[in-house]
Order: sequence, then C-alpha cells, then structure tokens
Amino acid sequence: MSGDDRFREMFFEEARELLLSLEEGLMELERRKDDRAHLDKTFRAAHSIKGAAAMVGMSGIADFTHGVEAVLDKVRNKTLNVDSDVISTLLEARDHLATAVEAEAAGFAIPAPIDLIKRLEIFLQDPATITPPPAPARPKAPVILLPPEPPIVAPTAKKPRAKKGAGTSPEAKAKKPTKKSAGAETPSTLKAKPGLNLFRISLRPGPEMLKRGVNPLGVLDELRDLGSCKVTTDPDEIPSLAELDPERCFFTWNIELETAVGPDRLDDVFLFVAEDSTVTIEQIDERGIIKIPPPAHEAVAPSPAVVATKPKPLLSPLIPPKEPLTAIISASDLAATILPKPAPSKPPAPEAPRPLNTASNKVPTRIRVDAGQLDDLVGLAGELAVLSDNLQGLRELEGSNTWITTLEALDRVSRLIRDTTLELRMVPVEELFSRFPRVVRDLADRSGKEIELRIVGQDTRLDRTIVERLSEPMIHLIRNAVDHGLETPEERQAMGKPRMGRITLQAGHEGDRVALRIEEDGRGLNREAIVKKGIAKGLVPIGTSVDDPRVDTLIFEPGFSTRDQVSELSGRGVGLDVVRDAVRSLRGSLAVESQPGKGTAFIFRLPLTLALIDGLLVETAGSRYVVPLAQVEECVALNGTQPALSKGRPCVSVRGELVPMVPLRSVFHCTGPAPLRQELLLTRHAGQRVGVAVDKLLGRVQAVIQSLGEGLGVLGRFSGATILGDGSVSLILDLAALVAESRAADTQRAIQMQLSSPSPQPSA
Amino acid sequence: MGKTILHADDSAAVRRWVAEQITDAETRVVSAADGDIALQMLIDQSFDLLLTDLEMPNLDGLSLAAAVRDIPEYRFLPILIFSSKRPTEVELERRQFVTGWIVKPADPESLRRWIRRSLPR
Repeated sequence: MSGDDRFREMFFEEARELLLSLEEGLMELERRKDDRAHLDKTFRAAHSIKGAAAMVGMSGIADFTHGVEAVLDKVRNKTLNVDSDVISTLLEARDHLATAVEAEAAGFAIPAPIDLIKRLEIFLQDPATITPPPAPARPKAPVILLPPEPPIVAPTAKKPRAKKGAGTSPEAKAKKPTKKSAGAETPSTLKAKPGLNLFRISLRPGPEMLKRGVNPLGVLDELRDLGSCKVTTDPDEIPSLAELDPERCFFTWNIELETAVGPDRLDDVFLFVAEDSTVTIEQIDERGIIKIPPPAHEAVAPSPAVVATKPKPLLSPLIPPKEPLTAIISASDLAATILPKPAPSKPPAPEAPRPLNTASNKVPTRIRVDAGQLDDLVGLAGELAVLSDNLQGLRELEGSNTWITTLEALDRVSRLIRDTTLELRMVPVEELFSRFPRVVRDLADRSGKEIELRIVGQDTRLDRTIVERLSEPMIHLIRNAVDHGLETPEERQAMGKPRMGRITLQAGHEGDRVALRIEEDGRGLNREAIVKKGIAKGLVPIGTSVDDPRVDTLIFEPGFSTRDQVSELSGRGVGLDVVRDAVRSLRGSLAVESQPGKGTAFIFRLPLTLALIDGLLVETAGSRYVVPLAQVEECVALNGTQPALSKGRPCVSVRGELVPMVPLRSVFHCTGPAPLRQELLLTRHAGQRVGVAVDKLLGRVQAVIQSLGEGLGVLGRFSGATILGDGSVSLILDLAALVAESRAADTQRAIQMQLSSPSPQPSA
Repeated sequence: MGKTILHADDSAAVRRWVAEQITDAETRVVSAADGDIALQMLIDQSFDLLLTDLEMPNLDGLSLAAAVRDIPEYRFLPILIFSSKRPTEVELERRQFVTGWIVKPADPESLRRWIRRSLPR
C-alpha cells in the first residue's frame, strides 16, 4: 500500500534524525549526567524511535529500542550510574539500531544481537550498578514491562455494587435492592432466545468519571450497537437537588442486552469505564439460569486496574480518592477482560516486584522436553545451518539468479532455527546460584565466620550443560573463599574491616562470553608464599618477582596449595587445577584477580553455548582445522617474514608490535617446508597478544561441535571435532590451550636453561 | 456535526499516521508537535477531543492534560493518551485527568473506535 510506504519513508527520515540526536546525547551523557534537560532529550530520542517504529510495524526495532529507552530511563531517574560500560553498550545499541533502520529501508529486517539485548538487560537488573537515588522522597517505579500479577476479580453476581460512599447515604442504599436480590427476583421472566445471548449488566460509573471526560453514554450506545437493549436506571439514587453535584454521576444503569455476540466482546465495551466503575455482567441462558461469563483470560490479562499503591493524595476527605484508569487498549489487549472494581473498602493490592520481561506481556506457557531430544535438535539445527552455508556457494554459479532469493531465505531461516533452538538450551544462572545461599550459610556456621552473600545478575542465561557442570567448581571456589579468603570476624575487626565478610557471585556478559565472578573481600592471595612454593616446585624461575603476572596463575597448577594444614572445609585433596580443568572442558577460562587485604575474585569466562561455534577453517600441512572465531582477534599475512627470536621464542612484528608466535607446523611436528606465505591468527593469552601461524585461511564455517571420544579428549589442544560441509571431519583447535601449552614448554625450557647455568642460589 | 481532534506527538511519522487514520467526513485532525504548541492551540481554537503522546519536548502529555483541565471549557474534554507506555507505568495521581489510554502500537480500527466512543455526542 502506498500509504504504508509513505509512513515508512517518514519513519526512516525521522529515525535517522533521532539516531543522530541519540548519538549526540549519548556522547555527552557522562559529562552532562546531572543535566535533566539533556537526559530528557536523549531519552526522548530513544522513546520516539520506539514509538514510531511500533507504529509502522517494525516491532523488532521497537522492542530493541525499548531496552535502550529503559536503560536511559534509569539513568534519567538516577537509578543507574552512568559509566563507560553503560555508555559504550548504549552506543553499540544505537549503532545496531542505525543498521537495523537502514536494513529495513533496504527491505529486510535484521534481528537484534541477543548478546546486546542481554547486556542492556543487565543494566536493568543489576543492583550493583545502581546507586540509590539522591532524593529518597519516593522511590521511582522500576521499569515495568509486565503488569503486576492481577488480583483480577471475576465478575460475579455476588459482588455488591460498589458503595462509593460519598455519593449516597447508607440508608438510601439499604432501601434499594442489590444486584443480587434483583437477579433472584426475576429469573423466570428472563430467558435467552435460541441463538442469542442474554446478558444482564449493571453499570455503576464512578462518581469522578465525568471529570475525567468519560462519557458513559458512549458505553450504552456501544451496547445498543450489539443488539437489542433495555436500559433502566434507578432514580432513587439521585440525591436531592440541594445535595446534587452536577459534575458527578449518580446513575446506575441496569441493562438487559439480547445479542448475538459473546461475553468476550462485552468485556471489550467496558474497558474504558471499568476501573472507575462497578460493572457486573451476568449471562442468562434459555432456561433462565444465570451464568457468570468467565473473565476473558483471567491469568493472562494484564491488569491495568491494579496500579502502584500510592499514599492517598492529600485531598479533602470528602472527595473519594481518584481512581486509577483502567482502559488500556492495544491490538493484543482488545479482548482483555472487564475488570470490575474491587470493593472500595479493599485497599489496592500492594505492588509486588515484577519480573522483567521484554518479550511480551503474556504469561508464557511452558512445556517440558527431554533434554536429550533438545540436544539432538540443536545438533540438527546446527547441521542445517552448515548445509545452508554450503548451498550459498551456488549463488556464485551462472544462472543462479532465480534461486538467489530462495537461497537467501534458506540461509536466514536456517540461522533463525539454529539460534532459536540454541536459545532453548539456555537457562538462567539462577538455577546454579540458587543453591549457594544454603552452601554459604552452612560453611559460615562451620567456620565460625560471618558471611554475607550477594548475588548479582542471576538472570544471565547460559547453556544448560554449562550451568549443570559449573556447580561443583563453583562450590569449590566458594569453599575456598570461606576457608582461605575470608578472615575471622576478629581478624577483620583488627584490620578495620566490617566483621561480616562478603562473598559476591556475579554473572554478566563480556563480549560473546558469560563471565561468572566469585569474589570475596578477604585477605587476598599471599603472593610471597605462592612464589616461594612455585619456585620450590620448579614452576617458575628462581628470582621470579612477586609482581610477575604468572604468579597468580600458579595457584591453578596441579597439587598447588599454600595452606599448610588441610582444612576441614576445603581440604579435600582437590586443588584449583581441577576447577580450571572443569572450566576448560566447557571451553571456558578461569582467571583470578586479587589485592592484598582487599580480597580475591575468581572469574569464569564461558561460552554462551557448547553446541556450536563460529569458526575459521584453516589448513596446515594439508590438514584442515577449525579455529573458534571468538578466539581470533585478527589475521595477518606472514609474507615469508623470518621470525626473530626473543628469549628463545620466535616472535614476529605486527604493525610494530613484537608478538610471540606459535607455528602450528612445529607444534604438530609437521615435516616439509612451510609455504612462503603463511597466515598468523592473533589471539590473546594472559593479556598478551600471541600469534599462531597456519598455512592457509580457507574461510568461515559454522561448526557443530562433536565431543572427542574418551581417548582423544585428553588432548588439550582440541576442543572437539566437527563435520565439514563436504562430509570430512576436522578437529577444532583450542588456541588458548595451544598457546598455553607452548608457553608452558617455553617456560620449562627457560627454567631448565637457568638450572643448568651456574646459580648462586642453593635451592632447587 | 463535524468534530475536531487535536493530536500531539513529537514524531512526525506518528502524527501523519494518526491524521490519515482518523480523518473522515465527520472528523478533522489538527496536529501539534509538542505539548506547548498543543496547549496554545487548545486555547486558540475549540476542540472536541485531545489525543496526546506522553513523552514530548517542552510539555509532556500528562502535564498537558492537567493544564487542559484547568481551562474551564475543557473540564470535561475527553483526553486520550496514545503512548507506548502503559497506564500502569505512570503514577496514579498523574493520570487522574485522563479519559482513556491507547497503547502504541494500535491498529487503526481500534484507534478509530476508541476515539469515536470517547467523543461527546
């Protein structure tokens, strides 16, 4: 439709402008974080993009922008601290929006990166980043994407009409028949005709309704449009002229409606008046029996009627409190149930904390599936994506024009299937974290230490297998934290720390990985003891400085423990090496950060999923390997550059930086001359760039990871195998393990060199 | 008798869309790009209904609604909020002047219907 196109065009123009304004706003956000006008403007840019996108039907853009808007709203309300992380995430989100808008303009939709969505969500959840609002007058409502659990009251005949109090005297009320008794008196006179529904409706508008500009006659008109209507009202309810306030509504309408439509349609009619008013609907069948139509969707319907509990506005006590407004209309809500006002004597339900759910306002239905079947499905979805990848090659062929659209669609659909199925495997780390409060309490009791456990980011989602397999390593680290990390209350007090030690478990996204942090504010690593022990065990060269970055990683070496007496709590003959191995087997890494006297943090960095990787297909000495793309920072060509030797290690210069190099050919003991031109895959190991030299880059692949069998699993260099598009099998290289292995060999060599050279120190 | 509706929204695309959806032989739509302009228009001309966004520069929708209720002629003016926010996201006392609430995105049919119903006879 040309009309639609015009709106779209307008939207694109407007969105481009707003995106510029959003970008400007974000750049200045940190500097002007106290400038309300600036915050408003920035927020509004996001808000307008969302609104306009929703109007032109680009719900993907609208939904994504909603997250941006929500984060900005928190910034604006000072419930989220502006730091570089917030800004860079928002800028990244803006960039995605810019891309998405241009993509829409070009005629296709691109999905929002799940990772980015999650990072935005973290800001909306993570209490660690929240600073208390400076003015604690009234806590701002949290960003609410789901209405509160509705105390929806089904319309029932028993419900008496609301006694709004101020309008009519109790005596006047008592004289009048209630709805129920009126119903009881007349059942035999009312019968539904075959094929028609008969409803008896009572509508008692709230006294303030007129002041809100609601026209109750509109409701009556609408009912008349539905069928034949008999409307009566009770003049007794109108106060005497002296008491009558012409701006208030005193009527109660009793309506008998004979109509072909069902109760759902009726609910809809009362949306606008429902909150302020009392509405009861009864359905009378052919035998004159009263049925109460069930509310359209009791569990699902968002309950606009329930609003934050508010301290009553300071109005004159004669005026009944202003009622919230019910009518809430959107395409999806049109069939929402009517919401008879709870009796006014009943205070509104207190506002419960609401789950954050960007997806929809529906309560999701869940089904249980067998985990094995799910894994099979993930595997198949991955294979489908690989097959589709292969087919994309057909696009290059002559005469493929007619198939290009199909190929592109196939590519898109297969990726979507893969992503969706992968998403199915994800569970929130809450499942993992939830058992730890108990663990910490038990440990605290047994060790006599006072411990507070904080949990942050438990909505972060991870592959189910990872979550399952992380439990033991995490418990191990928590035990360590209690046993080795945290001091006794007395020691802490002596050091001027609070008696209560704190353990923080934190989950969040870091790039395409999930980081889990186990942190305590205890004594920190004893580097001197570690170095001493490391030297004694021959793990580091003699004379290694306490500040050497290798020192911290020593604690992950097998059999390494600095504590002399084995503690009851953590001394179970399992060292940190077991933890590290467990994490590595999940294609993750384990790092430690520690400050003397301040505490220690262990950080797991894990892939989002285990089933699939984006990989780089490389060739060395005629064999093909897959390298996880996430491990590769950059590829550079080595045009016959001879590696220089630095401390006995081959190094190459990459844009002026000397980078240690690990030639894959020598790691695999390949024979034959290396080709003149090789490729260097740059990865990062222990904070340093390291290059792995391969013969050829063949391209990108998506690899469904198959685990190696028992026998091969011990080879640390490979994280698995995969089937390539042509049916051949290729091993997946683990660059991190490869580099670590090679560095360890180098270190070992260096130590041996040092040992064989004459040394004044007697130990070894 | 024809009705005149004032629509306030800072998004040109939304203004355009609303105008196209609502305008018919009976109904005329006047658009305003922010709350201030809308308020001035309400003062200068006569309207039968106000449809307004919430987040707007200069004067937001709810402040606009409150200001409108202070104008004697508009004490009973139907004021519909047309926003991507839900009423539950807004504090109760700030909503007291509002007649109805339409959540964006709305399909044209329901927008027309709720406007038709809210208009005075």
